[in-house]
Amino acid sequence: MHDDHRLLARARQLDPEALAEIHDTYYPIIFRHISFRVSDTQAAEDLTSEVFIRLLAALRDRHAPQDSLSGWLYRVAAHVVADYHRRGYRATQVELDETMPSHDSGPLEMVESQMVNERLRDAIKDLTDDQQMALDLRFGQGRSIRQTAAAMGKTEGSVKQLQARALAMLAKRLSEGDSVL
Amino acid sequence: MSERMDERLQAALAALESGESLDQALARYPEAADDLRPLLQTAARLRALPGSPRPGAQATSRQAFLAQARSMAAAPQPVSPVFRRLAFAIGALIIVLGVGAVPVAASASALPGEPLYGVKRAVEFAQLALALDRASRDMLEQRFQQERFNEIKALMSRPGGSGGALVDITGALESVAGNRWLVDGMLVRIDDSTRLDGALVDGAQARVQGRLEDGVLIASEITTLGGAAATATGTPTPTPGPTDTMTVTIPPPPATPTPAPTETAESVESETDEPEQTETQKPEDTETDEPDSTEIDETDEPSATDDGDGEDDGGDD
Repeated sequence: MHDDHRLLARARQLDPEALAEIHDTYYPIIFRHISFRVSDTQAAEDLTSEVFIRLLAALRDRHAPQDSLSGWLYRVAAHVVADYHRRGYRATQVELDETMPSHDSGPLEMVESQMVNERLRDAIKDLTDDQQMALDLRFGQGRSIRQTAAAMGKTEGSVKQLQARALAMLAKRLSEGDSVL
Repeated sequence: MSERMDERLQAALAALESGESLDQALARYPEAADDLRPLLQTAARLRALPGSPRPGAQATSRQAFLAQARSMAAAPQPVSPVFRRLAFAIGALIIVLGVGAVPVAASASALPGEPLYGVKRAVEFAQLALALDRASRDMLEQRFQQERFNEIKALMSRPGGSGGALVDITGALESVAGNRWLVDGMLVRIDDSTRLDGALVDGAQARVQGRLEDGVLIASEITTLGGAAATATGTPTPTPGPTDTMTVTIPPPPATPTPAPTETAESVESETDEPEQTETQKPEDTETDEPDSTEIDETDEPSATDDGDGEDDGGDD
């Protein structure tokens, strides 16, 4: 477990080593959290950086978290992503990135897969916050049911329930999209 | 979903996580395979959903983060507005210079959506922050505003199209009739999703944020600038969309929110807004257990003034 309390105490003094450790530790986690909801890689990178810049501002204004850095970063990330979606921007270009199913896929299959991913992200936005977090931790961050339950402060049974309902809703949305196409 | 089906889903997911193929996992429950298949496929898609940052992105972010911290450390609080502005300018310069390999001069012709555009805006901010007097600052602002228009024209004339680039201009409203407005000679299209704020009348100075699509600037938000509307006269603001959604005034980060210290001061100061949670009616969760901790409790959103500054209430994993 990361010693957030100790780290934050040093970060409040703007200790460069502590800040670097925070960035090194949490950048990949927050990036995955954001890119779970934002398809544009560059935008996800920018939004991730924005989260850390906001942390500095909170440290400066003495509003930084006292104990749990991860929870604070997740919440700010949620705000940053919400702001991003609220601006209504959706990149029109389709990026061919590593989320593609296979490097052997042809261009058409790759673009189709990316379009399905876009629909999936749209559908995720309609899930409850808890459902989104459960899916993010389980599949985006690759955590187990037990780890997800611990992180969310819920029972394992509750996480399974959240996961099952969310998967069912997403699968339904994707199948509806298929029937439209 | 029945309890039995739920158990099968969990077991099939566990089988996938242990390395079994989709067909192998489904073969465990052939009678339920048709129901399980879309769920497992969705889970597999979710696993592949998050991308990876581009090479160097984390290092660049780290560099900007630490540069910003250095500039903050050099500026004890509280500070005078002048000193604060200077500190941020220094931070911006550190970032601009700190990226080392990035040729600052080359960023001068960068357009929205291009990699060096953030550097270009950071340099502009630094110039503004270092302006010695109001007149110099006004002159620079005018020049940068004109540059935004020039960028749009350049994007529109680019052979590959404007590609949905995010743009941000400031100018006088010359025509606010219907859904095609004119801002300093630039045609701006309004649609139902456009947020309008302030007294948007002919002659008012306004900030227009939007995106370029097929050579047309589609506004996502139009906001009057302080004082301009009060002196402007003209026709009342048209209401192309629901008026009850046009009250949000949020200074957002730029089109490519480069992690420059310039944006920090403004974005943090604007964090009193709260994400709109009511845009979509979300289904109720009915699980009955009570959370016993709230480490990553998304339901515990920071309050309107708590974004990024609230008391944290959870632990770490």
